[in-house]
Amino acid sequence: MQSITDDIFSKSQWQELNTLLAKLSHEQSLWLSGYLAASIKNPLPESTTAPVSKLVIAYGTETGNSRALAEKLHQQLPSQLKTSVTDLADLKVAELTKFSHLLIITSTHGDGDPPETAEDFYNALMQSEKPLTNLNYSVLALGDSTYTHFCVTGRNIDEQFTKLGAQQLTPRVECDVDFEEPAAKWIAEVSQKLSTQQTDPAASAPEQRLSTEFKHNHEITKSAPLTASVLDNIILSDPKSAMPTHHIELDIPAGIFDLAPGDSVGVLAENPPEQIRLVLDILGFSGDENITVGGEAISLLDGLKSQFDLNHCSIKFLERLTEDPAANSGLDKSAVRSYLKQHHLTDILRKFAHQTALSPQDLVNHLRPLQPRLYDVANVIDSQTTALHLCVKRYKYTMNGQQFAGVASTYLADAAVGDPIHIYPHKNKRFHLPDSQTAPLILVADGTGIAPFRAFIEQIAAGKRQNPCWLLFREARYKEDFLYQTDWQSHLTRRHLNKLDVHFYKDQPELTLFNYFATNPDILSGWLNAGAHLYLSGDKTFLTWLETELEHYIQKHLLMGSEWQSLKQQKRLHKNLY
Amino acid sequence: MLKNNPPIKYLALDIDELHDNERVKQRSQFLRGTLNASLETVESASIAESDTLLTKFHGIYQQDDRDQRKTRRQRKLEPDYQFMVRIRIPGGVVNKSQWQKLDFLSRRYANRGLRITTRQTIQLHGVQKWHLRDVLQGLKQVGLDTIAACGDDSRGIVCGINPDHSAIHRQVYQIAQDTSDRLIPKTHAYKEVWYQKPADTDSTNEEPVYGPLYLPRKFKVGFVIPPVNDIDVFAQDVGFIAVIKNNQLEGFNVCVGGGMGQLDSRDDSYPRLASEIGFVPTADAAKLAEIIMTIQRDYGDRIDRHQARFKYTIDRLGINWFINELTARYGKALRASRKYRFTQNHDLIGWHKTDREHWQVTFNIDNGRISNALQDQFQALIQDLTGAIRLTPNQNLQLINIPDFAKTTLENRIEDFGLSALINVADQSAYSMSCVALPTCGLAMAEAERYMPDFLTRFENLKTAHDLSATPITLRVTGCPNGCARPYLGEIALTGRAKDLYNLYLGGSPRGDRLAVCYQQNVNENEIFKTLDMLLSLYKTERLKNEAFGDYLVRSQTLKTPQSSQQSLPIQEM
Ligand code: SRM
Ligand SMILES: Cc1cc2nc3c(=O)[nH]c(=O)nc-3n(C[C@H](O)[C@H](O)[C@H](O)COP(=O)(O)OP(=O)(O)OC[C@H]3O[C@@H](n4cnc5c(N)ncnc54)[C@H](O)[C@@H]3O)c2cc1C
Ligand SMILES: Cc1cc2nc3c(=O)[nH]c(=O)nc-3n(C[C@H](O)[C@H](O)[C@H](O)COP(=O)(O)O)c2cc1C
Ligand code: SF4
Repeated sequence: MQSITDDIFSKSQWQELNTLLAKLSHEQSLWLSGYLAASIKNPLPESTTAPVSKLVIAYGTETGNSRALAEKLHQQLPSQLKTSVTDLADLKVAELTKFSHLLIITSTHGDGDPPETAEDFYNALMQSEKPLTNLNYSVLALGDSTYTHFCVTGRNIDEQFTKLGAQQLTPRVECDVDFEEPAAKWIAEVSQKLSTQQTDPAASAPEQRLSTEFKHNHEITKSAPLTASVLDNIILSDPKSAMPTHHIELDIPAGIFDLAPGDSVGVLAENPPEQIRLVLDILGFSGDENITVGGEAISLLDGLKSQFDLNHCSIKFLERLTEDPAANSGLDKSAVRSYLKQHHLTDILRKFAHQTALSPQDLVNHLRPLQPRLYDVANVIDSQTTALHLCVKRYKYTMNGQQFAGVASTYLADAAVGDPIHIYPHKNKRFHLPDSQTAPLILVADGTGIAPFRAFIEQIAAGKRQNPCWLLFREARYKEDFLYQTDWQSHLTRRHLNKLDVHFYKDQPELTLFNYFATNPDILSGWLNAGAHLYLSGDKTFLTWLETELEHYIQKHLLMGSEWQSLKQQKRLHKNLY
Repeated sequence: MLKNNPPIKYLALDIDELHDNERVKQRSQFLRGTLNASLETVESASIAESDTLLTKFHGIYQQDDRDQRKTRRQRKLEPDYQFMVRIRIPGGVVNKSQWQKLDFLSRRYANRGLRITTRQTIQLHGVQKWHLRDVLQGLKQVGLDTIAACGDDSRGIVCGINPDHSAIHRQVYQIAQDTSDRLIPKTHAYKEVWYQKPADTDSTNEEPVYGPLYLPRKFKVGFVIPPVNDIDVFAQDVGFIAVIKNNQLEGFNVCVGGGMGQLDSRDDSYPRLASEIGFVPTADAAKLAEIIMTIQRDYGDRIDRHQARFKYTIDRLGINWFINELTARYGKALRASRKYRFTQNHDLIGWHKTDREHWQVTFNIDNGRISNALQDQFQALIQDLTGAIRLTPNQNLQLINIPDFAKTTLENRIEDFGLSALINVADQSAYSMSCVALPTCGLAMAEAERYMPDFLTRFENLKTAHDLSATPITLRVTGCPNGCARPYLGEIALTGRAKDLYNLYLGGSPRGDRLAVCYQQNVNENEIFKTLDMLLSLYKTERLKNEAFGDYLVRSQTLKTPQSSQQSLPIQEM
């Protein structure tokens, strides 16, 4: 306070003023405040609210009326205002704090329900308690007065915004089925109001402003990971499937990660609670026991949760348990390794742990550290991105007839919105986009292998590159497993993706992805001769097989036969197999 | 009625002034469009938007499973696109091998069995784009197709009562077939797209009657033989009512301009009973249907698609104008209408002997859906059938042409396969119909087919409570005001307005000759039953002997006098 008043008043003025103010009654102060406000000769521009830095028009529609109005509004707003139009379906309540202005046009459907596509936004908003004090908004509600709950969706949104502290820019307008006239009025009012508002100078040059921030790239490493909270966790596959694929969005600060398309993040996961319980039960521990790890005293439970591998038994541990593994396990020394591969830690503990006294500290001293897992980043991370996308398949495997859950994939798949996830960047230089901005790309993905290609094509769509893309994708079923189908569709219509082939092996077991190359030899050789880069991403077994098939095929059937050779020599073959 | 003077000949207007759909038709090269390419696209299980209009003319609707819409959008998947395939079965009769093929195709490529429609045909739901050709080629093997089952053309022609019933019935059925052949589109596109036949290059105008723009909207023709009005002839764009004298088919009374479709949001939208305009001799029926269709082709509204139905053309130009135009095109005036009488619009459920000493048996199929166990039961029953199968406009299934000697065996088999309950005449469900609605119908605002079982149970309980369980009452439920189950003719009808909300219509007749009136808007089940409870108790005490519920409501002036057909005569004894 002192520093601001310093600029305006002299020290003595300020003192006098304060003595006087202290003598005034509450009523007198109130009157004075109004008097002063009214008597100022040079009033500030009408809006003392925030300048327009981010203006979004969002619509909720079922039969298209609201969308059409949103487009009309967009056209009528002053062009210097950078405005984007979005479907409420694509808007997240968590994003609202980033907007300065939000104009909502929504109808009411069902029996007073929001349009189907706006339901998620609507429900999240109604449950939200996060203040929106920096938001200026206005609502246009469409409805039909023959229904009992006339325009309630718009009304409830309006009321909720007010409740959360947002500022109403212009009053809500409710329209009946003859909405043209009142809607036009509202549009005019809103545009008029906005044109008197200042625009935020920073908003027109966001790139510049943020790129300076980007230089302070933080050092985030495995030992100093970033805690990112889960923004969204969506099951992309049929939710009934045993190993569904999840799309996970993590909240990251803008400009912090230096990740190029093709890079991954390491995830520091926690063991599943049942797995921890199993180990504790076998050994008769409660979990409350104290242990020291890296010089720090923690409980055994905490240690087992995040620091140790509870699946793989080390040789060291087996030796400690059996004293002499070759003798006691009845195994040839050379076979110990393969024995360990075939036996889960819990099997081994069950079999041998009773033979020896094992303290909690003994246990952790012999366990392997839990390793981070890598997941490819599925979107472009630029200086302004605040969400990092992953595409994760929930992994399950059986060993000796017992089913186990993959540690990290289960951890991620089970993560709820708001849960913290520890991540660090992992460069994958050999799987980056080529230096050439125009070389064609043949992208072959199996399952979650599609993730980096989503970032690739997003990068092309951002307008910075012109590489033609041919995407070949393999999954189980067309109807359920066409990962990111709507993304590919919009990239195809905008020509950021030029050719798409899909193979769903449960629908068409008689085919493989290889058939799509073999039935298009001219296209394949055309692309390769134009200097195409071939990217293989996903399941190691399948893609290694495909690579061999391709190599043979190219050598035998393509015109020159040497295409494969040059592909490898010119480092145009890139692999991301796991 | 407002009359334009002179009437606008929409077909003669500049194409750019017309509705977008007209340009799609024009550009489609007689319904080819970009269908071949659409069927190949891999990124979507849908077809191009303009092609979705064209497939309708080929009997195929793009739909999606609306139950899945929301979760699929979250899953970054397109809607679960799928296709409804409507077969063209004018008159509704199929032979055993055709039925078996339909049964097979539905199991292999569709997901909800077989669906008998209110225009006595079969629909398959849930067919994937990749399988459309397989389905249509499969149908071709048994002489079936889907031409003009939907689209702006002459829809599947309906024909009342079993053709095996008498020689006259056979004759009427045959005229219905001939009329269908005459009115359906002739484009070679169907064979090219679906059977992958080479392009037909020599025909310049593939549609001598329709022309490249086809009709402004759907156009429905029906044939009926009194006293049974099973097709609801007054809901047809053109209805032919057979006139029989001395056991001879003399010809037909013609009625025009019927239709159910309505939008709740427009005042200029309403259901309309067809108006009787005169009598035509047997030999001229098909020709007259074509002439009427060409008048609608030329004068139907091609700017406002809702106003494009024939009923609005007639009201816009006036029935007298229409009759003059018809007389001019036909070359003579129609003769005066003859007397006839309708006694019912429901089917003859159960066993009946025909005049030709054959038997027919009608199964009451709830909402026309034959799926799951029921589909297996019919598959087994029909395996050894001697006779044919007829689908009724009340969404029921009839076995016809059953020789005397085969009757007992069939009876036993019906019993053995657990189907005897479906031939019970007293069942209220035999007088009830609902449209498909959710999850496939893109226009549905409320449930219909999936809701009917629950509604019916409660309704039957209510009837029992009023000691009316033996009194049939026509009940129709639709998921929106379009009226696919002809609700505006029901004694009681519900038309969907929003999830769990309906408009309640009352006062149609059990003969299909009077329009119901809207009694309450936007009411839920409890409100509906409160009203019905009150009205049934009045009906129970005040009804005349054998007086139907709808007739009672009108006579007692519970309802404002609704529109009736000219020859409507309630059946009542004092
Ligand atoms: C299957 C059927 C209802 C049933 O449960 O049996 C049906 C189902 C549909 N009708 Fe109908 N109509 C069916 C008989 C009718 C009838 C009854 C009749 O013709 O006797 C009517 C009222 C008569 C009339 O035409 O006025 C009827 C009036 C409509 C309308 C309203 C037309 C209008 O004048 O506005 C539509 C909507 C439209 O065309 O825009 C429609 C549209 C539809 C569509 C295709 C929805 C659409 O356009 O997207 C429905 C498909 C639902 C689904 O998932 O299968 N359907 N429809 C009937 C098929 C008949 C057939 O085999 O051809
Ligand atoms: C560069 C790179 C990028 C990747 N990108 C993605 C991606 O984008 N999306 C994605 O879903 N995955 C990706 N992966 C795979 C991912 O890192 C994990 O490997 C995968 O999710 C499984 O991890 P988990 O912790 O769930 O399973 P784990 O618990 O690690 O189990 C996985 C495997 O280990 C074996 N195993 C476990 N315990 C034992 C034992 N006791 N004895 C013997 N064998 C055992 C199992 O047979 C199983 O095959 C990527 C991998 C790499 C290397
Ligand atoms: C099935 C259905 C249910 C509706 N329910 C309501 C309602 O409960 N309250 C209301 O005010 N309007 C209701 N409406 C009217 C719509 O809100 C109105 O038609 C609006 O213009 C549609 O805008 P949109 O095209 O952007 O969805 C309903 C409309 C339909 C089709
Ligand atoms: S009445 Fe409406 S909801 Fe029912 S099938 Fe017809 S269009 Fe669909």
